Amino acid sequence: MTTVKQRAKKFPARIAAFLLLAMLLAACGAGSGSGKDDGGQTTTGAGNRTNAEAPGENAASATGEAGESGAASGEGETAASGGAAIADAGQSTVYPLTVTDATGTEITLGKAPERVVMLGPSDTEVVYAVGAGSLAVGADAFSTYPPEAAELPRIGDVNTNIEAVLALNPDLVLASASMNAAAVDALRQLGIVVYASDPQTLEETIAHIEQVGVLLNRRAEAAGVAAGMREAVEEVTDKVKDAEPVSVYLEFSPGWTVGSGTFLDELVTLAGGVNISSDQTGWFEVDPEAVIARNPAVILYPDIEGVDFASGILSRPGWDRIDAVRNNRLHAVANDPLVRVGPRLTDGLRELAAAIHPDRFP
Amino acid sequence: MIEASGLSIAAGGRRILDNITFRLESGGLYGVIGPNGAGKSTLLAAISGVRRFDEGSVRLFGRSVASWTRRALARRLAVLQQEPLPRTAFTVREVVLMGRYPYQNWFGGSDGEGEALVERVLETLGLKEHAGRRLDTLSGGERQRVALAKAMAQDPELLLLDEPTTYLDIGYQIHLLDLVREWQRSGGRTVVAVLHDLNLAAQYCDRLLVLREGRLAAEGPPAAVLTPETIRRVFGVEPVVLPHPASGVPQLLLQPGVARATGRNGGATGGKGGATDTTGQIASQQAEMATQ
Amino acid sequence: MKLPLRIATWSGAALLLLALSVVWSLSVGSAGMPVARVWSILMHQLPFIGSAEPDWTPMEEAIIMQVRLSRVVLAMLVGACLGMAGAGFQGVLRNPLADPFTLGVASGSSVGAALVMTLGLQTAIGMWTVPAAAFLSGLLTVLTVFLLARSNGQMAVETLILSGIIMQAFLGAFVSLMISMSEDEVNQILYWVLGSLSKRTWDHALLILPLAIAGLPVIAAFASAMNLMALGERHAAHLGVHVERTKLIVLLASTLVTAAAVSVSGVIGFVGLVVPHLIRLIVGPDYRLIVPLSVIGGGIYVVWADTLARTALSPKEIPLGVLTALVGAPFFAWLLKRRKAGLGREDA
Repeated sequence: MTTVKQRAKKFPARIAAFLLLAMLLAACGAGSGSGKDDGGQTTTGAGNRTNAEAPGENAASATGEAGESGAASGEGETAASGGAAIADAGQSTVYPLTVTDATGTEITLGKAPERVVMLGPSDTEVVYAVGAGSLAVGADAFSTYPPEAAELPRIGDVNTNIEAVLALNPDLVLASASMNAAAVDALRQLGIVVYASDPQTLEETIAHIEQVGVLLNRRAEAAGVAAGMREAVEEVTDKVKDAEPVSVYLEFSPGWTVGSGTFLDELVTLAGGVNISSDQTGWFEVDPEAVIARNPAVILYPDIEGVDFASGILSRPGWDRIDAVRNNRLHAVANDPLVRVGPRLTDGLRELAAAIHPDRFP
Repeated sequence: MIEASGLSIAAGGRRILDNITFRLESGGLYGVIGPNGAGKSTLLAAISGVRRFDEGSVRLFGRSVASWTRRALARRLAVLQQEPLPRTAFTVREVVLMGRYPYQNWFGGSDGEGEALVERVLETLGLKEHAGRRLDTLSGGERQRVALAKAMAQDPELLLLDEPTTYLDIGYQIHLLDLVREWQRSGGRTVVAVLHDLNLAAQYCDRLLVLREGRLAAEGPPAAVLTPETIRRVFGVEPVVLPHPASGVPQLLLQPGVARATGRNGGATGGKGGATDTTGQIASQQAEMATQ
Repeated sequence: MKLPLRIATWSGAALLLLALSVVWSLSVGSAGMPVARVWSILMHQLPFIGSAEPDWTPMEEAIIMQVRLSRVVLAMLVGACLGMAGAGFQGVLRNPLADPFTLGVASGSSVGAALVMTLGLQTAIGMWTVPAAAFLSGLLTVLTVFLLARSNGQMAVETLILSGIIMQAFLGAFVSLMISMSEDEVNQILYWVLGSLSKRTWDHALLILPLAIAGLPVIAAFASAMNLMALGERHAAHLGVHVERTKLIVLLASTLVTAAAVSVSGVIGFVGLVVPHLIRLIVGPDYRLIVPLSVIGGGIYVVWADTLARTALSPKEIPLGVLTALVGAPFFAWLLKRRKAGLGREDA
């Protein structure tokens, strides 16, 4: 909501306009718990908010009336997009907090969660990265990073064991809207608060991390992680920005490659490569002849214990003529950072970039 | 009791039964004879209502066969089939009791005299001591006796037998037919039996129906029907016909190598043009049964 | 012993075993709650016995009443449906390998479910989309098999079975095709096909309850006819049974209850095959005993299997269809050996 008169007016008018804008933003954003830098009270607008915390405090939040749904209707989008909340990183989250998740469901947290269960390893990494590991009480069998997460009580794998989740008495469950759809429904029917996400791009992943920071009242740490990730992206893109894009072939499952619309494809592009399979979408079985025809300069595969990608690739008939094979530019990269939708995506990005443009990353 | 009029059944482009007309009064033991493929089993199937026919009519007990409900018909008509009962785990008594199904409710009750009848039948057929044995422990001949007991337990007025002696040795054959005739006479019932053994048919039946290629070729008492001319015409063999020393009914003695081809077509065993083969087949069938 | 008394005695014993199984199943689970607390919560629900003060959390009550109890009830119902359908199929088709999936309900239902999942329409009409699709496609498949096998107004048993096999193979290939072409849905489809009772609710149980209740009397009514059909269709007809009508009604009713079970639980094999055979081994060949006891026996079997499925590797859950097959197949092999010994007899 910007005023049209800004440019036409003189300086004082601009300040007045700016102040007006700031107050309006505060009124809207306050419902999702963002206070002003002056330690302020956010009392305008809908009247359900209680004491906001003093700025910079990250301790457990103020008490709020439980069970509130956001009285001001426009608040949902601020939290979901993380806009105004992020602008005031470093503030504590104000509860009760109402957000809309990737399934379009509005969920409300009456207070800061103290018992969090994660249904997938990506969310586990995010929770620990924002410094909320002490809140975690249960995770799925694949949550192996960080090492502390491996000690958490297990609640299932790809299939979530509802009983096990209930037994941990969580006040927030983090899940993937696509992979855990059935569990999300079942848990919601039993009255558990579930926040489901489904980031599709690197930027969405970073936003999700920030959102988790809001949910768990770890906004400062989340902001730190987000900033670090954005820096990493910038660093990589800077270093490769004037380099010739290198054609890359990715094989992340024996015999399968990835096309556009996937994280791997996006990361390869950011790392200064061109995914030879990007004319198709999603994951699909590789057509060996097409790869020969497109002649990638680099072949990348994950380092998975017990799976020998390299000999599978090298033994394919006709592939010895591919540039990547002739120049011995086959590289193994760490698997988890690249397939988990979490804070280590940018680590994976760096590794990809180093493999694609080794001259830029000594 | 049984009236067929213009009965015809066609299938696969040929007439299995062609314009069959006859009338059988109650209280007799009738035989249906004829070469293989003549339509004898089909005739029984049509009479008992399990085979639909294309032309003509069949009346049982004064009503069209199609007008009977299956259950009502089952109280008056029983059928003994050629194949022995399958080897199930049911006991002899249980199977014979199934013959009372047309009279019972779901639990097997409300049958009044039925159980006593079953016990009498078991006694008559010498199955009393086997009553608790499972069918899968019995031989083929014994299972056929059980099947007969089941049919008798239905207490029918009319019993149809479809080549019931095929799988039996000569001892069992005589035994079975004796039982049937005794049962038929003592109760004033009617029996229609398809038989392939002409001599047995002559001994036991009051009248014979002769089928050939779906048509009724002859009908009458054995003495009238089992003449060399008729046999030659219908079966294509030249037997010697002698009266039985004890009963006087005609008995056939076959002559190997003396046969005339009569152009039997459509028969299941259509020989290689030589009537000799037909004689040989009949002879070998006899020999087989004797050694069982 | 008279039949009504036999039915009552055996059913009583079976129901007792079922009750014990339910007690056991409710007492164990991933939540690791002490048995005493489980039963306090359950007793609390009863109007007169309920204790005054709950000393458990609402979450624990939800675990028992919402998650576990509904699952055990659903297991009973699914097992009952598959048991009675299995008895019906075996009684009418007279083939020891016949089970509720012989005529194609399994792959038929799987096609419906897989199609919905592949197209991403799982919630098109809410949570009932997948079950409804599975039910309809399963039913359609079997009706197609009936049509294929019908000639001259009759459906010969051999033709029915062959047509069923053909449909199973054809539709199974369809499901595989969908699996190979899907990306995210592979897991979903596979787990649905493997059979599971996890993440079901009371609504699922209420969905199949009316069908189970309606199906039993229909199939049981033809039990004495099925006894006669064991002697052969001709024999049965001559004894007064309407053979074609019996086949059609029993197969249709059995298919309906099977489709209902499959639509909520996926394909759970070997229940409809093993339970009637087992019952037959114990009480003999009379279908008036086999049908009702297969209902109860099926319930017992699935309750046991599902309890194992969710506790053996807790918190990991073994797909139920996998477990019933792992247990059922060796049993069936043993059954086959027994039969072969009996079949070795000569026919004189």
